[in-house]
Amino acid sequence: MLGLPLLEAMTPARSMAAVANSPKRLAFFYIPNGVVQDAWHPEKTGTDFEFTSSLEPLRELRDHVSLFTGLDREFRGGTGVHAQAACSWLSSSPPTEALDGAFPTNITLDQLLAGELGTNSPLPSLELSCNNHTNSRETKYFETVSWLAPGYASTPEKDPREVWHRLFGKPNPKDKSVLDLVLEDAKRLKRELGTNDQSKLEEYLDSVRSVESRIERATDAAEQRGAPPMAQPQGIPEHRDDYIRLMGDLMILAFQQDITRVSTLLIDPERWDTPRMYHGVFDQPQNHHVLTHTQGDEAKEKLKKIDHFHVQQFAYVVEKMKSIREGEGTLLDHSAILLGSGMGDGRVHDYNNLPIVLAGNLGGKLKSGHHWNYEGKRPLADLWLALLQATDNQRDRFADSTGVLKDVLV
Amino acid sequence: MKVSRFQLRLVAIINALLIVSFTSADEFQDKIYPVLEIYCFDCHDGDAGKPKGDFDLFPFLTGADAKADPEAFRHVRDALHFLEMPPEEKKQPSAEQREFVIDWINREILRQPTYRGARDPGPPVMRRMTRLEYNNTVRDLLGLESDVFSFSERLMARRDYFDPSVGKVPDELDIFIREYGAKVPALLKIANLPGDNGAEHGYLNQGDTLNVTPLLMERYLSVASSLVHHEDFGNEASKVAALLGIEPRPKTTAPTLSQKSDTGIFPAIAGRDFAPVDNIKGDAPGGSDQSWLFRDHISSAFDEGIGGVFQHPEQVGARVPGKGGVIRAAFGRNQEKALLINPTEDLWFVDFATAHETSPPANIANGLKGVKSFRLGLKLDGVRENEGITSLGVVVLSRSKQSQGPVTLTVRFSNGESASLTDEIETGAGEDNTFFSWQAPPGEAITDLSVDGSKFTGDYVLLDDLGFITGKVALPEDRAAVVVSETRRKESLPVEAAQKELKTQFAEFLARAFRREVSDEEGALFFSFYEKGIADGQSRQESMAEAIRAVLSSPRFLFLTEKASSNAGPIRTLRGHELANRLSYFLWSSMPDESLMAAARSGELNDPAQLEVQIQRMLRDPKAKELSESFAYQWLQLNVLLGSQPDPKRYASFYSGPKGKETLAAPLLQEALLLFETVLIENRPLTDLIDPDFTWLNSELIKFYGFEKEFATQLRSAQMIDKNGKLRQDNGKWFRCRLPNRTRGGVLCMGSTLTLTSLPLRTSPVYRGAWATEVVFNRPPPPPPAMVGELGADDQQMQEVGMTLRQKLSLHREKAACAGCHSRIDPLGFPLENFDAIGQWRESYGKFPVDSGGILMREHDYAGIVEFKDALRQRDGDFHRGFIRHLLAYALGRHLESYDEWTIDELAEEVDGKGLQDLIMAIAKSYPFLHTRNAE
Repeated sequence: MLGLPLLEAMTPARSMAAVANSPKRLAFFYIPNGVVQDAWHPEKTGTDFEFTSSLEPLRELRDHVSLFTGLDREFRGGTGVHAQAACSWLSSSPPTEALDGAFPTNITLDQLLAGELGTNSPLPSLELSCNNHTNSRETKYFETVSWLAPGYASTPEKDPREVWHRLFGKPNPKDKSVLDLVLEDAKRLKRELGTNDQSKLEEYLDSVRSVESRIERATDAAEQRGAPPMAQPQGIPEHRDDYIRLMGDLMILAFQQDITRVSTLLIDPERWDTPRMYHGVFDQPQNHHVLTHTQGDEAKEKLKKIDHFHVQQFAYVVEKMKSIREGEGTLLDHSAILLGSGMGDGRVHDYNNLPIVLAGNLGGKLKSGHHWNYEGKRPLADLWLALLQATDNQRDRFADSTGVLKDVLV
Repeated sequence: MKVSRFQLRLVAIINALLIVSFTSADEFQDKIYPVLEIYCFDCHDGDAGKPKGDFDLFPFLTGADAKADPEAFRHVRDALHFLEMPPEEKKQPSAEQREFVIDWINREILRQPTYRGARDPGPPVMRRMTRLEYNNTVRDLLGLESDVFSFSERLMARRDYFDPSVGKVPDELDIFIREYGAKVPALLKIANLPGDNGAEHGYLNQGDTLNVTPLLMERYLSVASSLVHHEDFGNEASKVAALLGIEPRPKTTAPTLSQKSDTGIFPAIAGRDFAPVDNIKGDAPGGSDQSWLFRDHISSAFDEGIGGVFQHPEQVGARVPGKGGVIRAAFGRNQEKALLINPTEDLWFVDFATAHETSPPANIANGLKGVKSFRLGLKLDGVRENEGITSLGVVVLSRSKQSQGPVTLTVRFSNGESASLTDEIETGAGEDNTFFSWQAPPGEAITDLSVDGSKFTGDYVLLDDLGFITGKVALPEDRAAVVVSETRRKESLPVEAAQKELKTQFAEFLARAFRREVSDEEGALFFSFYEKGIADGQSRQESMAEAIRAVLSSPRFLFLTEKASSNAGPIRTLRGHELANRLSYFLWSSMPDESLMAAARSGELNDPAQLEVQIQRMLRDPKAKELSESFAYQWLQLNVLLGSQPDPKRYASFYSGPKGKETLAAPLLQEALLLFETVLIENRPLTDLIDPDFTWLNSELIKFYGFEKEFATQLRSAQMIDKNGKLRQDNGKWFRCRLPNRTRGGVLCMGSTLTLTSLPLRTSPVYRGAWATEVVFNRPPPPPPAMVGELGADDQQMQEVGMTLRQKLSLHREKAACAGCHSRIDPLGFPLENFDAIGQWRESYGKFPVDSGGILMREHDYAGIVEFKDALRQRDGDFHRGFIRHLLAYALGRHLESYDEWTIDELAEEVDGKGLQDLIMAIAKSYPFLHTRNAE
């Protein structure tokens, strides 16, 4: 294991103080190509549900997770099925609202939350991805589940080394000097302009100054923080499980130190069609997407193993959050961490019965230890709306929601 | 005490009599005011109560008052001109009175020198680039072959069919349209900029709406950083490679395969379609891809210029000699690269009746009967050393007459390893066509393909659709190569001279980036950034990359600016480089090229004849496509089409493919753009935009419009009809079709615009009318008041209560509050009622017949779309002026003001009956385009 154990002693005093009030944190982990449905969703609902073979790694976390069956999204014609599954997962815009060409994308849930919860953190949000394929086979619609606006994708960080740098490193001094230079040039330019046009340039100057002061704040924060709680990773770990867990560790550190409060992690992108190793699961590289289009039980068994593998990594992160004391409870108690996909079953490309696992109580706002089945009568956005309300956001509608999913709210 | 109008007027008259001499009596008071008083004051006298439509004529007592508010009088003029006022039921002025008032407003108010005694050209340009302009400018500045990032202004169709160079569009075009959001060639895969928020009724390049925010500033910095730190920056950015001290990796030039004679070279084009006839029956076990997946990959690779499919040469029956014959399959964005196939045995391009090709009419087979084992050497030509074939796919065809048995295909990789696939091919023509595929291990290339058919019972192994994708391969000396070339450069000049040369080169780059001449001081400021990097111990490449990044983040790069000026007069003519910038952002949405900047520097651009030469040249450049994709796209509001969602059940023909994944939005959009592009390239009259005798269609649109019969002859001659008389589904082929009648043709009668103005379950004559008034006359109606009554979402429900939508609407219009606008809007929507919510023809709504008649501007009765077009054609001048307003606002990048009416009149007169290029030329030579205000 590459990720270091997180001991309370390693948390610097400042950040302990910062989390005294235990802010709410939310994280969204995305898995691609749907899941094998009959090995995922439990039969029984309520608190007495059984752990299916794919969800078995969560068995020890029974009291901390909620499971959902029958939450759907509606596909909108005119785009690829895979691209839309991922890029519209957290925006969940109604199919009638296509603001980016045919894509019903809009600002995503995590970014909405970041705008409210993350405004005082050094990083409003953290976008992570474990997509280390280098062949750039697919587009931005596959690369991230976090969108700042219609058609405006966030840029996820894929290299743990770079993530560490964003969290604990100092801002690049070059950025500062670029800003100084352009500021100087802008002042000269200003002299050539009429009064009306100067005000237009003033917008630019203000923006440059605002970026500068943000860099300064970040530099100060980095200095105050003192020694980073973890050595800088050497890059992307070779083993898939180590890679995903290390990203999880970094996210946990960022939460613990209140560097950010909202995070997304794309465990793997939709489609992409490049075989990869799932270490310790298969001897040979496997192409997840192709498996969903391969007939027969052998492929299905492999898919189940991939689902199981992903749940295992998620369980690791949840366990770890549970082991971290924070205030009166644990980090997990103050967080909501979710694993899911925008596709139900990759073999038929549908958006029904989306796999969703929710862990944590978000500071006592969310119920756990339940399995709910909505039989396709509720849109996924109803859950997103519930999460918004659990963070004290007062809105009563989000995207194509039909009403808040009250069941999960305490 | 309230002063009455009469008293005020009396005072004004007395003043006029006393102060102004008797002979120059105020024409306004004598001839205009009385007309307004009789026909307008009933409703628009603010003195007598709240004026209707919030439009008050009370303040205007003298000519001077009127002149002080030209905007109000432009409004009066237009209301009179379009016979909108006075309302129909009120007393009407005579035609002469109308004409006189209109003429007076034009003459005395709109065509007056209103800016410090001079004719007002509008303020200097000062705005940041749009996202499109940023992309194009960075692309052209750095010499990238692709876009910087993918962004939604870049539409789905590949642009390579657009060729304005000869002034004529051929009657058939091959156009490849991607799925929306599919991969487009772009250097940065994720990093991008946020989109721009346009003004309502304005274009995205309208300066006052282009804001800079801290977030955007951060994105500028980070996009520039991603660019200059891109692993391939030195190779891709050909125009700054020298600055970075990098020699772009040389491209291989000569075929390196053994080549005994030229006779075996077969020029061949690599197509985009892998197995367009989908009769592949299975995939060989163990292959890297499934055939349908491979098809996806090939089409995006072809699009990016990194792959394609070998297609047999035209001549069926041709042979390629083994050991020496070379097949050349050209690929790449400009067909500049080639796949070289070098067989060890003779090959034969053959068409057996006993096989079904996946790419008719021929396939490749062994040339000598029974010689079923052979090898194809595979090499690339015209690529960089570190590029190789990374993915390969091919189909083995099955054949009837006992040809069966195992066939083994093996590829070899550059590391010496190989991968074999074997499949049992069953007998029967097309019954067991099998797809084989391989992917090279990371960093390795595929070097050859061996065929082993020795256990196959047929005499020939038939291969079809050899698809290949190229990519980066590792070279052991990869890093060394760059360093060596850098050292070599350094050695070639003494240090000081080299530094001086570099400084000069950098100054040239800076001038290109800032699109004007740069002072030494400014050059030094940015160059010092580079020098500091060197002093800090960074490499030349790193230091220069940072300097380039600073340039790309600076205001002079990001903004289009014009000096407030120095000379004393109220206005000035633009300097050469300012004009060059205006021209290139108007016509190309990008920076001026070298020729244009040279003309600016030499002063040639200020010579009208030379200016014309430049404009002509620019319109013949493929970059002029932005006029279509940016201007026309916004003019027609085609962005709305991509978001339209006709009800999938009622309008099923709009959708196709699994889950209705594919829609007709993309081809319909293309139809609209092709009309504009044809009018542009062929300099056709503007009226062809609304009433042409042709349109562009591909097979799916021909079906959609139900034109199979009408275009049968044309389709047959293009080989689009198969043996059974059925239309071939080749959506990539587009035809210029002469329309059988005038029910179609023009921007009002197309599926695209008719869909984007409809609701999911019904048409909306109101949306259509509002859209049409804006598009055709550029008179967008004001937004509806809040209390407006909602019509139902579904007209079928309305029909159940025995009323058509139209009947409901006329009830609506009877309310006086609604009549003002709706009498103006609806008559442009009703004539389109024969088109349903996706633009297909209909004669009735359920049991009710369609009523598509009406009266346009109180004067022109029409009974349907054809007569409506006749009515519009009687108002050609109004359409011209409307269109000129659109294009002029786009050209100037600003909202038009009343002082621009002067120019619009001049342009309308000048281009009457002329073509779109003539209008563009006239705009580029118009007063506000060539001049700007001086700051006071």
